Amino acid sequence: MSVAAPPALSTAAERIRARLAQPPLKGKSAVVDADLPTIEADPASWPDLARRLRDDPELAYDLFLDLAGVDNLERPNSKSRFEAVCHLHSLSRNEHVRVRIRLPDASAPSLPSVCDVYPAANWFEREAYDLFGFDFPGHPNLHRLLCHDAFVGHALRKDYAAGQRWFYTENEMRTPEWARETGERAGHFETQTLSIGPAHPATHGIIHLMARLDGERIVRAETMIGYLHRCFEKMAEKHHWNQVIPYTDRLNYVSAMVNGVGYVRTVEKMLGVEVPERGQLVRTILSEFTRIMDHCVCIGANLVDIGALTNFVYLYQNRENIYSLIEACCGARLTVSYVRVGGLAIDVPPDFVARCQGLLDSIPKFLDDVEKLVTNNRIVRNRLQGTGIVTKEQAIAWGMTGPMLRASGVPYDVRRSRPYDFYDRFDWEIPVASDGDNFARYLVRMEEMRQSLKIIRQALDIFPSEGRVSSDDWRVVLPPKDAVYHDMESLIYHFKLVMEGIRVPSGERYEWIEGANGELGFYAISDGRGGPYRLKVRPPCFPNMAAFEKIVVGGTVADAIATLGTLNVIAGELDR
Amino acid sequence: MAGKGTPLPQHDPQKGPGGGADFLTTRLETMVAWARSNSLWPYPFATACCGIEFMSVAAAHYDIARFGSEVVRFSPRQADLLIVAGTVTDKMAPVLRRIYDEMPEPKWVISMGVCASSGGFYRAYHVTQGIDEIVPVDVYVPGCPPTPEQLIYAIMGLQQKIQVGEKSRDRRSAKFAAEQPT
Amino acid sequence: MSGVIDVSRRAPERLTLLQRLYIPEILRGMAVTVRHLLRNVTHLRNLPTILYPEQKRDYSKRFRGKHILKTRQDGTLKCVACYMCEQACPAECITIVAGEHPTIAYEKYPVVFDIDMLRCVFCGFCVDACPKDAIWMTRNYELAFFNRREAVFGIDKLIEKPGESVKDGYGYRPYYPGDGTHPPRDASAALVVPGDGERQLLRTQGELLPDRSPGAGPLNAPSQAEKAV
Repeated sequence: MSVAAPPALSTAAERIRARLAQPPLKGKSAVVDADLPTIEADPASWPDLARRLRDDPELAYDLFLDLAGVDNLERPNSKSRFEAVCHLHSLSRNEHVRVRIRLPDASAPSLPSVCDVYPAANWFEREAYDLFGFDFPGHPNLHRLLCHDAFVGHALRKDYAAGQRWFYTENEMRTPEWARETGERAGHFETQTLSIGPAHPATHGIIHLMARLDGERIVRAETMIGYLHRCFEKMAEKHHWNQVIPYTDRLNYVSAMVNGVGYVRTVEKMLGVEVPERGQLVRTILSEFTRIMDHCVCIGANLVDIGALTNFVYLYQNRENIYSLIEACCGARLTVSYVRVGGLAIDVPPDFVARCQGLLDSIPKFLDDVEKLVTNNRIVRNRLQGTGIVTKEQAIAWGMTGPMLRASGVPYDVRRSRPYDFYDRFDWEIPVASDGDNFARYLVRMEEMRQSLKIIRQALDIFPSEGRVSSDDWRVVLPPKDAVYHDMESLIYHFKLVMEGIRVPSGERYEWIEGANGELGFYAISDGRGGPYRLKVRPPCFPNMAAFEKIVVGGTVADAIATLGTLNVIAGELDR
Repeated sequence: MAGKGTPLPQHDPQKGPGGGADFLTTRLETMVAWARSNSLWPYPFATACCGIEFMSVAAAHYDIARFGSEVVRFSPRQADLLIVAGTVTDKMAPVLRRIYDEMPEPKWVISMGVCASSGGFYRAYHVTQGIDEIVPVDVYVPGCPPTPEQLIYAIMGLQQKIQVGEKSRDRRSAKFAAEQPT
Repeated sequence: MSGVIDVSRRAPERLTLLQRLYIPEILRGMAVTVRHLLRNVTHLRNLPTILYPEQKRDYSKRFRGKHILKTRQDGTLKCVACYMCEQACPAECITIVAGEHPTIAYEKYPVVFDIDMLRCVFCGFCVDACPKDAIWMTRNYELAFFNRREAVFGIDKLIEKPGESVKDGYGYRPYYPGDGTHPPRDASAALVVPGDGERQLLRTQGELLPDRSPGAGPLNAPSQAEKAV
């Protein structure tokens, strides 16, 4: 009996397969085609594979994006209960790759840590340990990251009940080993441990920085997060596809709509549903306004931490004006829930274009005012210039994306490298800076806001005055109300969508967009039920925050606060 | 004063509980209550999205300074109103209790948003299902997030509560609540 | 590289002597803030601050505020307790208990319809899910509670009382006539002629809803959709 030849791989997958074959990897490995070229590997060969993927000049996957754990308990045809799915990106060749590692031992899943190859993997592995119980031999600091220290069990496993809580008091809080030492002498003076946060005006939400200080200088730091771990991924598994959208709003809550757009794009790609042109343009315009809102908060809060309070009020006025627009479209200011799978919830109001034009006139005035107060101000320069420096190599090694990466000199922007929703049709520029300090990030964000205004202006020029905003596929999008009230077939579709959720065919998909902080990716697995089987968010500020404890070493506490402001850590996204 | 088993007297801010002899005390109580309610210094325990809406209230568009909250105090020792804005997770709960304990009396608590009031739509393994598991709450504000006007409406409700003389752990709270028009 | 703009040199690395002296920069900064001050003082009517409660922000017709249960012309709730809003709600804040309505044509009605306002995230999914035009949202956001029990709103707090105007007006609704969004035909059910025990049929826009109960009269013909199946 002849075995059929395997289907020819795409060029990218073929190149990977060819490079990995010389010399061949230990253990079983294969390269398959899916929405992304996927390498399937054994746990034992993972560090070697990671090193080759990073160092081989033909492959050069230097940016570590994500590591997601998957529990296949409720998928009977899977080959192993636990899997680790990693996503990597090659900056030079602009390609993503997925690596799937099946963990054979369901009672003690483990795979070797790759922290020495990809430093960005540090916190992703801790998260997989916390939520799935994977062991990572070789990891320098394998403790729980998101759940509290009295937590028993691994929350994202399918046999863990979603509502099972554990009692926690401050006696059970884990203090890092090094922080418990006292009387350590450095030079003539003792060092002391200062716990900054989690309830702190400058920690933007709730970050806990344990710092060892020598005078004002930080000699060692560790960040503890998880104070806003709201179990987004578990909630996603318990709801229908559309019901997850309000949860996505609360991820990066200062730019709520962008998360929704990223999520529904993943589902739409899995379904093969096309959003009409008008809907895509509305998404683009509102996403860019939302990006402006996010940068306003970031810069405003950063300057408040430094002491420049006036700018906060000016930049917040921008936000209020954009709130008026968004509230006119969907009824809520902040947590919009405006997108749906297949389009938008409702069409924009008739005066949408006029409102946008009004905003295009008013926003630059506030931005100019802030620049006049800040950019050539000696105090701001002293605080922000030369502090929080991240070099280009460090930024890539630490898995940073977004303004952090662009301020260190790498022009990586998903809207340019993998355009979606009309971004390739507009003429706009990616701001980059070469210094990598806090001031560079401030400049990059200010310029990004102006570029967003440029994009919106061009989008309004081609905005069609009529047309649908949602797909007309009634298996995915709720039919219009007059049809539901009068027509039996529409009522049946409506009923099935509401009661059972959208039937997404079995499969997986990773889709990514440019969030305000960087690459925001959603990895979704469907098994045919009405909601996600597994939904992993790749939060852009997660690797940025992981690097924070390394960036602040050597600087003063005041510099650490200024750096934290420019990182733009949004706890909803960081902790999910 | 009322002892055990004695029904509590009706408290009317215009009249004192006794007769003319309480004139000075009642006026002083009223003045103190007026002063307290119009100079609430909030401690914004902002964890999530409601924190951003609180920042909107503090910014120019709504301006909580008009109600006496000119300064938001990030030290619990200097604040008298704890506004819990955002989801409180089980990891954050001891911190919230600590902050509440460190505030001096009189203190009030506003639970802003549905996540702080009841856990919201996070019926999950790491989320406290309402901060009243940990601290006594004076006013619950629904909304996700509440609009800034809604928060100001709640602060005005709290001001009324203070002026009638209720404190968060006062036993008359239940009676006061029962008397409110539903 | 095209399409990339370098902002590093946007602001010169070293400040000029005048900038380092700082006094001129202070004066420039103060010019900005004093300009805002003077503009506010001379345009007192156009202040950005909304003086709540004396002034209220004019939210749009789509604002997602407190819910309202719509009624038919005879005062009964349009809701037929189909449980779709309860299913659609991500927060599981709606509790419905269905009961049999004495008027056969209405079939079911909610005996209990509770919305826990302290769980509701005001997403509007219930409005999107309702097939009977029975639940809308209003622009009323003035809600605050002193205890959690009074936050569970029953039918008495949610019902739109006929003849009374809705506080602050309607907000998010399933369709917006004349807005170009979903131009509907008249979606509200027509008046039912009351008659105890008699089978009545609901008549909407000329289409008869078949009565499928056994022993029904000649109007029991199957509808178009049923014929197709």
